Amino acid sequence: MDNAAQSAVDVYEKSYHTTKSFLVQSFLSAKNIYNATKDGVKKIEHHLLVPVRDVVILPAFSGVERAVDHTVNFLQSEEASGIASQSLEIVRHTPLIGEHVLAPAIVATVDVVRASWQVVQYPIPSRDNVRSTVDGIMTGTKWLIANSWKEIYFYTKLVDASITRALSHTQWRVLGYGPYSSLSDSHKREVIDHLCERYLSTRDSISRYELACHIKFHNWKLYHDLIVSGLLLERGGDGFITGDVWLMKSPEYIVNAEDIMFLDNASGVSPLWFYLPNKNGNQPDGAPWVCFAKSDAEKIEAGFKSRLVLWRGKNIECEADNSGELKNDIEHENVLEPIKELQIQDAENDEMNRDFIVKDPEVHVEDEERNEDDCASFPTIAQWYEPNLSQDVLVDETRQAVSFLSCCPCCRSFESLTEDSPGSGIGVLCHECQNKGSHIDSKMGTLRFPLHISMRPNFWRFLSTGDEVRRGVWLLDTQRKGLQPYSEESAAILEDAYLFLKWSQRNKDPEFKEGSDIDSVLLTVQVMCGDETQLVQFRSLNQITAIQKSVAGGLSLFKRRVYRGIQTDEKEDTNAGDVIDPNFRNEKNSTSPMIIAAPVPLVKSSSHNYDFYQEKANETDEVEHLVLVVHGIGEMLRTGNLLGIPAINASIVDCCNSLRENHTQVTDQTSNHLIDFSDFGRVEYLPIEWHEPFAIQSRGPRQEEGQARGQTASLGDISLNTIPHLRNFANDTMLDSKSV
Amino acid sequence: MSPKYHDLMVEIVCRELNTVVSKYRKLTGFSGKISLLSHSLGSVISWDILSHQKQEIDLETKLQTQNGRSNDAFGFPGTKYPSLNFEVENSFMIGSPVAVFLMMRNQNDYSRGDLQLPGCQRIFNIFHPYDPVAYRIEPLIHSTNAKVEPKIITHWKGGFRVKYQTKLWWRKIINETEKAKRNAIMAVEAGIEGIGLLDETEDEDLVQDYANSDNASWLDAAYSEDIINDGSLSQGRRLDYMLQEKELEIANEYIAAMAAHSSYWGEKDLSLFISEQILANKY
Repeated sequence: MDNAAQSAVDVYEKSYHTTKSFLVQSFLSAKNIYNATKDGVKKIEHHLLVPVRDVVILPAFSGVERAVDHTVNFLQSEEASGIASQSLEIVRHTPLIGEHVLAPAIVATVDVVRASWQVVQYPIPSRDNVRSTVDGIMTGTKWLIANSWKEIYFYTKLVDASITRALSHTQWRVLGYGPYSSLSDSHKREVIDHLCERYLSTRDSISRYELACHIKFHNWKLYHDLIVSGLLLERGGDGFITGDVWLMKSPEYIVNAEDIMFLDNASGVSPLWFYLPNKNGNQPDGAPWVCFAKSDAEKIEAGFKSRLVLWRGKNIECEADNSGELKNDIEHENVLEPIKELQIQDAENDEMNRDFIVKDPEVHVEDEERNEDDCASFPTIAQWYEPNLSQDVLVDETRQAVSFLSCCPCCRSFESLTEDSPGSGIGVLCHECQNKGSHIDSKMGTLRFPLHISMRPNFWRFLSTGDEVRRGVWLLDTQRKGLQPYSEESAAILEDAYLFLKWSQRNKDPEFKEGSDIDSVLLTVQVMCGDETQLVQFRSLNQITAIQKSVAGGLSLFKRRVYRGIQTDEKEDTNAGDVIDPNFRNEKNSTSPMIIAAPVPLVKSSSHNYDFYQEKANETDEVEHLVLVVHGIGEMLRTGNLLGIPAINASIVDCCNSLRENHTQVTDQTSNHLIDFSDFGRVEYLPIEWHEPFAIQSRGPRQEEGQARGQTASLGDISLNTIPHLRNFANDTMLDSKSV
Repeated sequence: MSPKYHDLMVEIVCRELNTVVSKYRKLTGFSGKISLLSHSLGSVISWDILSHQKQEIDLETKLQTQNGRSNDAFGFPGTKYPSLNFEVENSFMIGSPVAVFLMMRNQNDYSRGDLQLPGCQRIFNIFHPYDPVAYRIEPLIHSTNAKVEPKIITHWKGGFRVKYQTKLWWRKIINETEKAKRNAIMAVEAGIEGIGLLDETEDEDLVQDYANSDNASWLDAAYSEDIINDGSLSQGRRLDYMLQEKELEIANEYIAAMAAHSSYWGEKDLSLFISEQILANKY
């Protein structure tokens, strides 16, 4: 590579010199010809021509010389560029062709002239310049080649897979999408018979697994009748079971699997933790999941595991004591701070919050410790969260609390699981689901934990249910957002497929190693990722890629890598990310199954300085000083971003984040300061949000006034109608019109 | 900030402050000092809260007897000001229109003792030079302060931005020439004096004049500490601090002004200034 680059540099330089010497030569020769002519003319001694020479030719020559001289000078002067830009402007205004034809042509010409002038003027470009240009070209080419190679390979695979699928799967596709649940019983039976036949005639167990997955993904009801009820297992007979373990309730490959979802953390690969910041109580569209800092992630993981231990213990055998304890825990957990003022508040808010208000004597004791009148008289929609220190994990320098709410394993709702649910505990169905008679797919139940994890701030109010937190076992490598976690449901499907594939490969070949290369698509499952349906292809156990399931997705270049966990230890292991580049593959196989850990690109959110590998330097420092940030009013809460364009919608919380960030950045740069910050602890910035209680309070009585309100003039009434933008700005900033 | 809502705002903010502090103390066991950072209208509210803390009762009654004025002249009549359950060390006000509010309420006469902030030890009025909402406070305290430029906050990497550096350089050149001129004059005068033609007193006046003119200059605003008449507010130290505008913003002041009022949150100069002040108070 180096040699290639070197030679490329040489070639470039050579060609450059050739061009240059050509230009210089032509220039010189032109000059020479001119001089020769001039000399020749000077030497005209013919009698008759002498006056002509003196009067006409020599002045003409000097005139030409002067003109050239002046032109050159003029072209390099300021005025020339001014005139040039002006004339360009005029040309632009030429109708029809001006903008798109003439102007670009002129610009291009000027550029060419300028470039050649520079080539003539400056002898050699800096060597670095040349080198970097060539390097850029070389890497570009290499990238292109590598990528096109990969694409061709991939498309061949894709075409192959598509053809296979088209041939063999048309039948179940029709059935899969079909309106099964609305069919009459006799028809249903027919469909099931058909499918069973189809299923049993498929030879390969992996294809059968795919078929089952497909049915499950598209038509849960059909899947239920066919597989969950055990019908297929029955029809298959005994000899059939060996390959099709997934039909059983607790299949061997899950029961015996090591490190399901990294719960044992035996392999040195661990999940990442993410949260989805919400804006004003809504999940923002398309916003990326943000990764927790490493130390926070470790804390959450520990808390998560300790919660799961309870659940798993209960799953195995439920002791009387244990469940009693659990029940208490649950009560505790669902208690958000009982905010008294909510009860005197209007019905609308009350309804919103009803789920959160649960009487609990213990919390009342805590309540009394606090100032009773703190904020008690001002209702807000956003609420305080009182962390439950025994169970919540405090992260983000104790600014936020991550809590694990047990939720219904079936419908995933966690709000309806209150203390009055019978036998409440982790993994218990909620009322609705019990009434509906739905039940858990036990297999998926093992892979999906009945916990809803959310993160809520400790020192300011939050809306809705806080930020959702996700344990990222299965990660999708996206180009713009870095690694993003799959949803729990998708992760469970993927994990199941992964475990099954691993198990079946081991069964086939006891010597099977995870890292070994399998040159075909082994298994394809469909999962939902956000709004799109993805096909996740297992090429081997650690070569998993996702494509969007649509024509465009298939044709587009976006084939993305899927990872299972992230390598955190230096330990040798094969599960996590390895490099997909075919160049590295051989190297890897020749040595031990050593992994080349892929660089993990992570989301850098503007407001949070979270980076998985980069720890906050003074995390452990004591908080030395507390700064309370009181905001103004109106829409002036904007933080300027890099370009000076204000990012609208920034809240006071974001402002505090940026203040904190700036603070660390500024204090880290100690060299320039007179004061040494090194022995100074952290400074905490906390937001004081007062606008919401104020808005509610100030609006309330006004609505009651009714008539009177219609008569009072507002600022909008007294403002003039001219220059509205400027006036709005003035009103906003000066007179706080937004609120009053 | 109409009278109708003023009380409500003050009360809400006060309770919020108390709640957050007690929550924070409870959860982290924090026992350090606390400062306020308030933006725009928030600074007016926090000013009102801080100027009506309980510690001032003694002082206020004294004032009442002195001036024969009722307490109502402060803020709005009949306002009940809740007290904070913590002490405020510094109050940083950014982009603050406090001064204009004080003026509208006729609280701008320092000699009457209108300006009192018993709730906190130091107060900083920080503003961007193009912020349309920000006003200075120092001239309210004493009219002579109007001539003194606000103190410039240095760049967070140290030093001044281009505009101020040019000013600094220009100032230096002028000073140098001035000095040279004066030296020449002095030499001549010394010569004349030697002959016994000139009285010495005039010369001292000249020196004094020179020093005075320099005092009011921008240079002093940047470098010297606490030379102005600030009374008891903020322990007699400077109140007005100005951020340096960015080179880009000089291009068009009116465009820069649109964003200036909300530019504080990302300002690193401000962050450094705050942390320096906090640290300075520690010792």
